[in-house]
Amino acid sequence: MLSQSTLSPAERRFLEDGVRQGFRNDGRGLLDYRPYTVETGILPSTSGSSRVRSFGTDVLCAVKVDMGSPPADKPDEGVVSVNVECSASVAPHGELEGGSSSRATGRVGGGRRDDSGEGWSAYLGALLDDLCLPPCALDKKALCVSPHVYAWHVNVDILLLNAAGGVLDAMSLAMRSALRDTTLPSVSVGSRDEWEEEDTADGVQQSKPPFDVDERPTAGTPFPAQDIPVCVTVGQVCSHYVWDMSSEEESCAEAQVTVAVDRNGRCVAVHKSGMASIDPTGLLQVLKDAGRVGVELIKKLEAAMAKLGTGQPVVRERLGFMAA
Amino acid sequence: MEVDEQRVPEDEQDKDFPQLLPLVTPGERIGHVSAYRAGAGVYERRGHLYASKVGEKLIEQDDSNQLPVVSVETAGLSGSPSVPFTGATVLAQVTRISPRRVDCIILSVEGRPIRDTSNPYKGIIRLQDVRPFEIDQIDMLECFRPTDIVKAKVVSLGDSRSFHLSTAEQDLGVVFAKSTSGHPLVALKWNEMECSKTKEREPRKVAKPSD
Amino acid sequence: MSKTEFVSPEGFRIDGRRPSEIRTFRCQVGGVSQNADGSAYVEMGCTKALAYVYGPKEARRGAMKTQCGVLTCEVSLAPFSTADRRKRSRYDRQTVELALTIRQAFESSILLELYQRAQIDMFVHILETDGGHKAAAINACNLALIDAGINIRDSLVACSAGYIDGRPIVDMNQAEINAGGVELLLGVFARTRKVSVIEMDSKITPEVFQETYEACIAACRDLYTAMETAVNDTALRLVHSK
Repeated sequence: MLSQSTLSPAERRFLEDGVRQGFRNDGRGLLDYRPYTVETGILPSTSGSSRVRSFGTDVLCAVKVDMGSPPADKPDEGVVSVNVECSASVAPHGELEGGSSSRATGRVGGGRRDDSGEGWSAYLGALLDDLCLPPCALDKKALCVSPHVYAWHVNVDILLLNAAGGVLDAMSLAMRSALRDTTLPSVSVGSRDEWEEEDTADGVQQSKPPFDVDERPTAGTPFPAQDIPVCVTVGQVCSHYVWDMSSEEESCAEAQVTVAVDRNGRCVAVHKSGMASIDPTGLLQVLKDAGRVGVELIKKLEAAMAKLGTGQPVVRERLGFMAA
Repeated sequence: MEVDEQRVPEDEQDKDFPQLLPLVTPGERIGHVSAYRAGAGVYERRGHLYASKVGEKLIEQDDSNQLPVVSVETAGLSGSPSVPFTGATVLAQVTRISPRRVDCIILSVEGRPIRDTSNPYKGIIRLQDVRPFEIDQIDMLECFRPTDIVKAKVVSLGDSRSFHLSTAEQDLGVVFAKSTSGHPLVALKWNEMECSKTKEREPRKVAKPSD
Repeated sequence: MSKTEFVSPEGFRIDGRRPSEIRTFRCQVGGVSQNADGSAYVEMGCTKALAYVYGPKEARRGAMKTQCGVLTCEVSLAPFSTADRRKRSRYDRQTVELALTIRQAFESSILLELYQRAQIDMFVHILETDGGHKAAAINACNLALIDAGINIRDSLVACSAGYIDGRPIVDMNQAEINAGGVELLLGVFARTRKVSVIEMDSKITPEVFQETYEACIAACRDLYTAMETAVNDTALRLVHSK
């Protein structure tokens, strides 16, 4: 994963010995989480935004909604897309690292493609899309305004400002809180007799009714996806499972399992990364624990967001707990 | 013709920005070349000395014959990375040994580690810079081995590829090395180290340990 | 011709400011990034910019210069920063142009002779644009360079100005820019008032230019006062904490 730290063999041994005895470098137990700070509504020009911070990891999420046509194969659904970008603080861009020769050959990042920021961004974006936006979590039909004609295109942009471990967890929390903060403007579509002829990009004539958007924030409806799953990442270090890893611990972990959990503790998606293999019984236990941890996380997030209320942009709530 | 200098004379500049605090900011005038010499963090323009960093103004007098040196001590806003300069003491790790030179990677400069490991500074120790005596009898393999950590001094900026380093002093040389069995070596003499576990002796150009 | 009055007869703009008043300036010097050697965050009204500085470090073989250091700059406009969401590539003309402007501006500011064979990288992320994002980018880079301890001649301060309803106005927001008219961007050295960046693309008379230019310089001074206070506060806090 995105590990920013280079550890010497002595430091690695120290960390592993600690894990074997149930302790971590910062004094936490193997199951203890660091507190999160969640802010919403920080970018007024977006439909919804949030920022999640946890001891170094800093994620900014912005949601922008746009009116467009529904996809041809699913005319009664809207479109949701996730885009992740790693800031220069996390990965100074490939162009400067790869050198001018890579530009001549048209490749980005040259031979070190795995280390370039763009490679990681695309990987994280696809992963987040698979884990947190599966069909069961998101009701895309509610995003359709007028079948075959108009549907909402929701663009979720995530900017990773700092990576210090637990990146996917923070990103899923950010996405969940940003979407909770989003309101879809209320739209009224004109009647059949008001349809206008319009030329599409292909030169084909297509009739489209006019639509009216009510820009007032109070007139909008909340985003119809209140249960975006939250990711919980567990790492395997010397056959012990470590939760909410820091970046040093991530670089020592032989394998990592990320579980997407919904508010009922059900496991929505699982992803494993890393080179080592995981023992199946251990994995089952991890899934069960992840369910519990995920529910806790969601409960605390909901409680904090309820306290925030609407119309209060920069109010912070500490979110921290211990997973027993 | 310097139009700007006529428009804003030197004295005028200070009027707009009276010194509120003990710290100086870049562009602030801090002296004249007749009174001080420029040190680190200070640059000279048209006879006046200006600060080029944010920090505290420091005036040092090393000997009475020369003018005192004024420098700006960085307040350490975020820590500045280090660039090897001539005369700096560096710690380097040996990567390759040839009969006439040793290639290494510079790990720290004057005690400050180099954080960016993607494109590290390279250094070379030439045969004549290993030690000051019996240069023609030096066998590189008896002085250094790959992965040794060496304390050296920067002799010159060298060519575009690497800095020139030297270990030709008593307290320069190998500070940490691993024996062939993989255990750390302990210094015995200026040219010998002993494995901590197997007690085997290996030749190195050893740095004198500081007491 | 827009019917909107951008400067009321009492002398107030649509957001309640006076023509010579800059927007709320907030900044954070350092502490924004864990990896970068210097970082800063600047807010001018709603416009938000982040800057990171890496360096000095060993220059890449092809770009290395022996007489002085190499400065690179990369700008990234977040897709959600503008009113219409648009994902821009790194080679988008607008961003490349801005990166070049910033690079050239700071090449005259940084004492590159002290950084022979080394490279200094600047990265800018624009998070939200409400007018004046170029100025915010330049100000953020300046603060990030100070944070990194890079030797600079003087602080470079940038601000934009325009001319509407017969008066020069400074630090325009997007609504005022969309009204058309002059948009002048100035990057000035705070103490010597030498101009390092000047950008304008409108047809105006020399008198209008003179008024706008002077208003912009005054605005840069106000900005610098705010910036210097922030830099001093951060530095003092660090000195005392040692």
